[in-house]
Amino acid sequence: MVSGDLSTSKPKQAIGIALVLLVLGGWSFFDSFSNVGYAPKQPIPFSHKLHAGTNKIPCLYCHSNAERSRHATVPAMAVCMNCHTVVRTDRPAIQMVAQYYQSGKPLPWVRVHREPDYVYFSHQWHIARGFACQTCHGQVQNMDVIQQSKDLKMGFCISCHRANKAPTDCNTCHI
Amino acid sequence: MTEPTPKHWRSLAELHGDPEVRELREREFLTPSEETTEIPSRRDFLKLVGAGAAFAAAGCARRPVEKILPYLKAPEEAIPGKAVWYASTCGECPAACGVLVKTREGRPIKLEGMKEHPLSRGGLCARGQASLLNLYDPDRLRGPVAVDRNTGAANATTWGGLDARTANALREARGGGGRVVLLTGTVTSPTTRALIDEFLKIFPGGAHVSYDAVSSDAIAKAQELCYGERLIPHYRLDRADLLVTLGADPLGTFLSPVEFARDFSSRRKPESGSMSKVVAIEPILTLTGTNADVRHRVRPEHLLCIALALAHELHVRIPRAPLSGNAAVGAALGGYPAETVERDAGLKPGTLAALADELWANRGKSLVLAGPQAAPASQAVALQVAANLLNMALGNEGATVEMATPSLQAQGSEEAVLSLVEGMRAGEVQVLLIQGVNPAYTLPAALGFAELMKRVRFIVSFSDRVDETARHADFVAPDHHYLESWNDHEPNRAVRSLTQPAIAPLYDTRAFQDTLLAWGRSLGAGSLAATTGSWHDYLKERWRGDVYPKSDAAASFDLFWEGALREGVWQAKDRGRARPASGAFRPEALSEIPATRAPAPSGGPLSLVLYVPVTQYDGRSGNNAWLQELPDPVSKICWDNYVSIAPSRAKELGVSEYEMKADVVTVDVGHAKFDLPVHVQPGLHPDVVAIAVGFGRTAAGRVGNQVGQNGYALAQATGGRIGLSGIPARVTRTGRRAPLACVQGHQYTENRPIIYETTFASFLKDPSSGNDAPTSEPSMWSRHQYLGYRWGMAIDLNACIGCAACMVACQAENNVPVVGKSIVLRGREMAWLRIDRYYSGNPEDPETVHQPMLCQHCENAPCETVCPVLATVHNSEGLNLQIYNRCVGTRYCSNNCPYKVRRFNWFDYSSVREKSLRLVLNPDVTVRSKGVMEKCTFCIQRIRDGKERAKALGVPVQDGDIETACMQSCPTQAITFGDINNPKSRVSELMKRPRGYHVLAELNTLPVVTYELKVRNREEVGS
Repeated sequence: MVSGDLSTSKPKQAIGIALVLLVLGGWSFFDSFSNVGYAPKQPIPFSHKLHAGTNKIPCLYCHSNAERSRHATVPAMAVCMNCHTVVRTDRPAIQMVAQYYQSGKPLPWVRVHREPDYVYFSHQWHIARGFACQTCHGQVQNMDVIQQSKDLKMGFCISCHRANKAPTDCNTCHI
Repeated sequence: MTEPTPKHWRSLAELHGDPEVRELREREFLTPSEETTEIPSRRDFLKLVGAGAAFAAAGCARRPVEKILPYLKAPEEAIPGKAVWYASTCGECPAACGVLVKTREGRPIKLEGMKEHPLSRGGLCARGQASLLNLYDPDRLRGPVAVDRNTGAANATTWGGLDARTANALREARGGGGRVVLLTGTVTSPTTRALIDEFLKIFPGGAHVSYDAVSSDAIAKAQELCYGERLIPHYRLDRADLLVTLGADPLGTFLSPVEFARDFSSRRKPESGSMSKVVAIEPILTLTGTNADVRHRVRPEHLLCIALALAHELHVRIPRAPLSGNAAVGAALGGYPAETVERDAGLKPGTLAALADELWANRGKSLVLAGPQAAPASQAVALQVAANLLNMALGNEGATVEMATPSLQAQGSEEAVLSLVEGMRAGEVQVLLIQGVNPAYTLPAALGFAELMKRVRFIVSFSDRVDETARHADFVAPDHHYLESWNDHEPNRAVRSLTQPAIAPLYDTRAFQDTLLAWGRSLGAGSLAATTGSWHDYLKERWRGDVYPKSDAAASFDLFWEGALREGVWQAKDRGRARPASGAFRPEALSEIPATRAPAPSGGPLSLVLYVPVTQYDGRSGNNAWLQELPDPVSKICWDNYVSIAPSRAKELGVSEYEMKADVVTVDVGHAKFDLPVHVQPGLHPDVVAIAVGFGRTAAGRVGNQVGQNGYALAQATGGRIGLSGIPARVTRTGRRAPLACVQGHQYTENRPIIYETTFASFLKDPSSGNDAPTSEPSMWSRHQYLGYRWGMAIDLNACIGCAACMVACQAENNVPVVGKSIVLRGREMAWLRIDRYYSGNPEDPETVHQPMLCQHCENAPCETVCPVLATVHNSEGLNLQIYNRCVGTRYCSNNCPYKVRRFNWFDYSSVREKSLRLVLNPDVTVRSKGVMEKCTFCIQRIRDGKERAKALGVPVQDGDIETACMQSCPTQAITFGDINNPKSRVSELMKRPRGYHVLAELNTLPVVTYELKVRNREEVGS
């Protein structure tokens, strides 16, 4: 056998395949940490496209705490019932919301956007600076099912902070 | 190689240069490395790595599903992420300091002192800060229980059942004329007292007995004898140029420590041109003693003689006092000339004459304060009478001893509780209701209260757990925690404050007052029968009737009430009634004083002093982990009590204590004895041994049980008094040794000067006297630039009394974990801020300095340069940051820190198994996991909050807007934090003062924490 003949050597073939698999596996392993596109099934098919897009309800109408606090918060069910005591009460999804509300149970939404516990992010400061919600949350008004559109990892935050001359001291986000 | 003796030393071992000190210095961490000495083989190592990687890959590729549960109707005032504050009053002890309760998402997470409160003025002591944790104590009762008197076993019951059974018992008692007694502690709430009166009036044999384990009854009794009225005066330490304490501890546990600390420190400012002088005459080293200018150690039996000798100087030897010619006075004092007393007590000749002259020179501006439980029981009242005579002679009445607005913070009567005990012994008490006290634990064991409870037909306890008393009761009707309660408080007649709930009751508990209302109504008799409404309504009605008319508020009562709740404290315009005309000092009171001096005890048994520790008080919060882990301010020992012995006596007995292990001795007082480890305590009189009460609980809960021994068991009950002092005791070695967790024992100053001090006289000549601290070295590099804010701190060693309020405030604010005794023994306590206590001078009778030590946020931080992953860096505002998620746990930063302020999470201290304890965590501060370094951050979350608030208002941060937790809680305002780039900020002014220095400045770390050196008002320092 000629030395260095990769195509025919069985052990060398095996090593080659293993290397390719390792690279692919490693890449997919680390890439799986990205949450872009995470669109979990919610208890009711709430559509931001309908509410924020077609009906043009401002984001802060429901997520009013975003300009007052670090947490944007999902609105209290009373906010939904503001309209839905009369609007579209024929829809089963609306009836389910009403049922939860009457029986005193909160509707268990599935959380989509989540920073780790060691990250401090304040909606209030960013809204005060005038950033649109879409900057980080994407085109929510076009989403039937809410999904995470930006990866929201540290690089994402730092690049915007650098571009806008915001502080990049570690304690800005890591209290 | 002999090293020079350090001028300031933290322990006797350091002073003597013992070999184990030198050995411990070599070790960075107290224990040898925890790693095993076996190194795995290469094949095993690779297997482990491979398996680990495979499991990691196979594991979490999917993120966990998290739910968000919205409100149904969001409460108007609560925005998630923003704190809501409520004004309330601390209920941990009867001092009733004003607090602001910080709540997040409906639960209290921090207590802060209320600046507007006229007594506490923004300070809050260590126990007040820790009282928050009691709300979330997992060992609280979840609801009412029925107790089996024989076994102490408790079974859940219903309020209806409990009420029915109690109503029956009460009806029986009422019908048969049996005694119904309500035994409480000091009730500072006038409305509750009114309700109690109304309730007890239903019964012909109804009585309210007020009993304090930490008793000031001797003072009240002496006031009654001397002036005809039983009261506790309002002591004004801020008006005293000369304070002489006779075994009293106003800075520690006496009556109103926060108020006294603030008043005390207001007269200790050398820059003002005048400074008070504090003379402590005491058998043990109290917290006040550590802050005194002059100290005299005496036996407890001699406190009375000394007081009388001082009076003799003023009335007989050089008659100058008003009652000098009085025959009764002369007769009473005749047997106590100064020379004889000095000889008996072991004082230098001339001491008392000089002190009497000093007192006379400061008449009207001096204060003689005698500890109510400092003298032996038979002398307790006499000592107070002597102190009253002195204060009267010196014209202190109305100045430093205010009787017009007496203190209502200690209403307990020893005579009343002892007569109750006799009544129980005789079988006269039919129904006993116990609230706010634990007599089976705190009364002297010789009285046998637990046994006597068997002779009472029906007993209900209102305790929040089945404690030592409740296990002998029939029912426990648990009261709310004060943070869940409505109440009002009247610490003195000029001040009324409110308590309002900051959280709905966590469990099925019921307010004690609501329980009384329910029972009163069910009996269908008396003024309560016709009432409806809850305790809250009752309280409001009382305020409508009592307080509102006096307030001359123009608004309606409802608006007034809302305002009162918002402010939390209300002050009466008229500051109390005028002193009754018949209130002149009655010399007949001096008949209390024995005519002949008791012979000086010599040889024989030692004199035992049972003292009230600053951390545990009377043991009521024994299950509070923050308090158990808080080191005693003087001995720096936590998680235990011990027998304190003077160094000379320890040598004689052959007992010692080193490397956190101590000889165990048996303390025998005749009617009781137990074994305790020894602590060699400089500053004790050689004939005195001291044991702290408040430990040795058996029914406190999982944290407090079996910690130490119950000192109350050794107390005496003689002649209508409960005696905690001067008890003859025999101390014998057992030959065993036991570990004592001392946090001061394992770091050494390496003979570097850390403390600087001077005398007031030298300070007046030259304000920078004593400040020999080196300034920083010249440097090749230019300094760092801090544009914008730069945070710094100034700590005044003259103001710091060592009370450790800051330590618990920091723990509450920053989620600092509790690690327990075994970990503290390894030197791994987690407190971010510690108070180092340094002695100097004579090891038998040293002087003391307290120095809070925290991260110095050095400009040239040695920790930052050695972190391999840059988890600790400086930010643009001068703070040294610790980024927890980046830290990999090399611990090189802690190795390099010369101040040794970094704390490492060796284990997972923070995973809390009990749900209720998670509620106390501050959501703004990361909870650190295993393997992460942590340290003081200058409360960066509060800095951020302050900046956010200022930004929202569109203004820069004003000086005083941002307070670190330690600064906020300090009763004496020893800590000042602020922007040192702002030349007008308070901290900048303090930094510029000549007293300021940096610790270890010669290392060129350039810390931003400036300490102001200690100034003592005595002739020379460290003699």
